[in-house]
Amino acid sequence: MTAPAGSSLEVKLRRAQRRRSFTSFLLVAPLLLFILVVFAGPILSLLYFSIDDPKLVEVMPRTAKIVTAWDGAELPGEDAYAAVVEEIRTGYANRTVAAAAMRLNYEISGFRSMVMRTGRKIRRITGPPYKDALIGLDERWGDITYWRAIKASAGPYTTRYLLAAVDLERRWDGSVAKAPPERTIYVEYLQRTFWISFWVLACCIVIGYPMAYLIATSGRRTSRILLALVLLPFWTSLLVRTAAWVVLLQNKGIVNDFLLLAGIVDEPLTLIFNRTGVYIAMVHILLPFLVLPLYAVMRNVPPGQLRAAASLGARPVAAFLSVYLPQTLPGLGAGCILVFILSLGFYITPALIGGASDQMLSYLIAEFATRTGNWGMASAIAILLLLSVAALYPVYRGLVRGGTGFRFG
Amino acid sequence: MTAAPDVLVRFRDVEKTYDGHVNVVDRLNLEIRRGEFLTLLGPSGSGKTTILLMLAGFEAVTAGDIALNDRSLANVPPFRRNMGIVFQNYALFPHRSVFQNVAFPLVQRRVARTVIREKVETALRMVDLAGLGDRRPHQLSGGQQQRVALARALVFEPEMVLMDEPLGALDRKLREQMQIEIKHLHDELGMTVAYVTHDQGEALTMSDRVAIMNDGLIQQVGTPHEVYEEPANAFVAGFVGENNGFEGVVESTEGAECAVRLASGDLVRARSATPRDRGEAAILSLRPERLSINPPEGMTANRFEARIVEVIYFGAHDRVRLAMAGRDDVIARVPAGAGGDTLLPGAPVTIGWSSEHCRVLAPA
Repeated sequence: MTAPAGSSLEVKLRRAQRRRSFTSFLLVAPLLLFILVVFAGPILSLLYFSIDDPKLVEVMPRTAKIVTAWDGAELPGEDAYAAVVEEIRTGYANRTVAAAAMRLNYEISGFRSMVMRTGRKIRRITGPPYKDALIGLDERWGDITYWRAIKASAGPYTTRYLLAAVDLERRWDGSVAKAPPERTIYVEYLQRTFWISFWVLACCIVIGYPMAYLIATSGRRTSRILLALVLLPFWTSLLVRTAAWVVLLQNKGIVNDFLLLAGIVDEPLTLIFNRTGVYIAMVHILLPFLVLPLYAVMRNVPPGQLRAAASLGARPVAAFLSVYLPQTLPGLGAGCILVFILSLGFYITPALIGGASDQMLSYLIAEFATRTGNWGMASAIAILLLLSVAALYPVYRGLVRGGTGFRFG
Repeated sequence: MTAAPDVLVRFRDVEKTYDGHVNVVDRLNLEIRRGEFLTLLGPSGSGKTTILLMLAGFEAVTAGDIALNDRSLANVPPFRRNMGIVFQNYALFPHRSVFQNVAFPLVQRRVARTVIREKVETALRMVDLAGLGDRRPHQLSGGQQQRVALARALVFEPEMVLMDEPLGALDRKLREQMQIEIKHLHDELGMTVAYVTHDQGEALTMSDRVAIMNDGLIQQVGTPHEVYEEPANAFVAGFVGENNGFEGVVESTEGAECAVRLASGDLVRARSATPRDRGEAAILSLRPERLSINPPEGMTANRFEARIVEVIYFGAHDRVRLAMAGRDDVIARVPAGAGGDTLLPGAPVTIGWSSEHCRVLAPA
């Protein structure tokens, strides 16, 4: 078919395509708006909070300016002391100095009370030289480390929260170094979070893969019942399920009663407030996220594949590894990534069932956000978590694509 | 027909039940000869696929025994039976290329890499798929997928090849073409084939012997010619090819020659493969192409007056539906144009057939 004017056909086609893409845009517009407002927005604000450092510069702008220009090698000059005296004086009078003092306390603990005490006694200083007068009030004003702390807090932006989240800190001379041992808890938490997630995932695979296979290959009735059993936990809230595990796992709980009665153990096992309990509860909660995608993929594996492999001379294990497993990798990959990412963010379950040494990164976020109100630190750890999840995406792609050349979906 | 045929597989009193009440395969005694093309033909649910599954080792035998080369298969797992199987849905491995699919049985047998390449290429050439080794199965047409399955089942030179309705998913034209190709492959390679189908045309075209199954029982085993021309019972007569069946009672016998009185009172001369007694109930079987319309005087032993009810055009032939002997569903098959203008609905005609083409069978 040759249209008399080939271009007019093209124009029509383009117009039709434009109309279609506009319609599809309208269809996704509500979702786009939703994601921008509740997803992209919070993530951006998180990023901002993790580097935002306005407290000191708001209350003591002149001091901040002077210490920013100061090189930090020797004690600052008289002008810096004059600025501190004046701004603590006004700040103490209109009760704004506490916020700045709190910020300084992040750098050196005890700095807060030192500033507040200086504020109480500030009226004793009546004139210059301010340097001697201030050191007279509290000799720590003559210690250079406190001035370096002020310099580090001078804002308005800082990398200290992000660095602290990976156990690093910035020295007064600008170099980055390992934080002192009393502050290096974050990497340990990160490692523990990954470690727990890894074992939860491993247990989920060992339990979930055969389960999904059974559901996908058994008859209609059986598979429907089994599927309902897998989905059952979804019908109750996470908190309720976790609380139920507390009841089940405690020393006089049902699990221990059963084990004692059956004579499997002689004394109750400690299943709660330790790692074992956390694993049990998390695996239970996360299992459906592995089973469901696996089941969906397994159901689409053509029937008779294992029989065909056997007829061609493959032993059962070889048939499974070379024929069945590769075809279920997309589902396994999707399930693994779901379980792993969800477990990285677990909070309630370790908090209720775990002991002090079983808490994960989310616990620290909650701790900073709700108890100490340190939003900078909370945001920085949240970003750490976000980045570790993002780092997993290429792993997933590699697993699903490289493994089979198959596409998920 | 001198020496005893070389038997490859022997089913001895094999029974199979799934529910413990009904035998889906009953008292099966069957021999598959080396190098032959044996077809199990029957309606769905007749047990033919179950026989194949038992032979392949995917279903256990409830009673009896299956022997390959006179050795029982009872404790041989499927992966050691060395039988190539072509499944109805092909069961190709979707995540592997055509080459890898065909190479699979050789890889499992730890054949050297260079030998594998050579054998796979030969197999692909054999089924006209040379050059398509890098494709994935889903990139091929149904017919091509069928050929890959065939190549995969043949490449490791199995003891025998089992095919379970392998052409069921193809359209008619392709199916007929593949029938010929499979038959040619069988002739060239001399392999033993057990083939399952419900398509009687397919069975007649391809097989050396056909075993006709119904309700788990073998009804007749014979060459295509035998089962078509000399059906053992009414079921076989009805299932293989088109058939006119007449119920009647044996009135007299004279060697193989019988006279059978129909319910309408008409007397039909027919032949019986087995001796019949007077007064025995019988079914007469007459192929539509053996029934002549307006036959020349004295040519046929049976002559009846009939009326044409309907003429159906079939291209190469016409199907003429006739009313006679108190019924109106007697079918005659007439080559196109043979009847001229005389075959019109309502027209009275004389029909006839010779006694040798009309068989006396026991009622089903």
